[in-house]
Amino acid sequence: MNKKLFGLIYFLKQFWLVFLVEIFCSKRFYSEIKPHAISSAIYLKILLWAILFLLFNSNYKNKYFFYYNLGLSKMQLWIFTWTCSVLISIITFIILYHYF
Amino acid sequence: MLEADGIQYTRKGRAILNRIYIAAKENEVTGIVGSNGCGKSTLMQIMFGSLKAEYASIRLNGVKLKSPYSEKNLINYLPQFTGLPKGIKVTTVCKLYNVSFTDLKQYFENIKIQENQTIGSLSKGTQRLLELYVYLSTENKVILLDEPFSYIMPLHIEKIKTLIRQKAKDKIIILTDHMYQHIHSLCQKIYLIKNAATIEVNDEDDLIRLGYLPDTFR
Repeated sequence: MNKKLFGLIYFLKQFWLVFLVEIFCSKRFYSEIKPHAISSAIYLKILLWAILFLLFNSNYKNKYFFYYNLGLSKMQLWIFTWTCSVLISIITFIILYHYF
Repeated sequence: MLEADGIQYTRKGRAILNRIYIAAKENEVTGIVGSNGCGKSTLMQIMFGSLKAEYASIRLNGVKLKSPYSEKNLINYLPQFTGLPKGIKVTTVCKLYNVSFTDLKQYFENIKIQENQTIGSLSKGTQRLLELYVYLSTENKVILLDEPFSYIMPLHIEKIKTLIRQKAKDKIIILTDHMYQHIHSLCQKIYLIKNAATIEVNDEDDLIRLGYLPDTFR
């Protein structure tokens, strides 16, 4: 079992509800396909993840040791999570733009 | 040999660690003792790489390590508390660290643990035991143990001590604990942290003289 990959996915798994909310919000914003709707979605995304980071980071102080022991840094965990979030938004946008 | 040299760490204007030098070799167990809040865990976290110090030189066989925990098969750190997530299964932990669950059950004969149990459903002592066994059984060269004997029953403490002695043959093991009798029976080298600096101690008399052990300890 690849330790680092497991750690990244295990960390990401905790945000499944956030991703669902994001997809739902993206659908609402992108369905109109207006420039201001997209910029609002980006602002909302930054705000949501900033709040989540601040909440998790303080509560996760001790829990990070599990990931450190897998060879993962805090930065790697968050960059991977944010990248996945951005990818989900882009994919949602493409699907909505092309098919609806 | 793992060396931690010249570590400087300040918190809220107070020097927690200042004149630090620790040298830990293979085939011996190194102990760190000191009063509560003297910086033992802080030092371990700096050595592990998860805490950034103002200055720290962590060297393995003379080679400076920038971020020890991210090096492949190098280091594991057992924190004071259970670091394993509550929702993860025992079998997953064993697979992750390439440890046999059967060997674990055989080693701790009367341990109450099932493969499909989650970490959160285990008692604190069993969680600690599993974490200790797993970290000690990895291929990693350096193992840092922060208060490894907390929550563990005496019978298992002896088993853990035997395991530490066995694993120390090809690993560098550094541990800290307030239960001095365990440190004394396990460690070939002991450092005391006092006034933010490390002092290598030879025997109990040194620790009594330096105010770590009471006069009545003799």
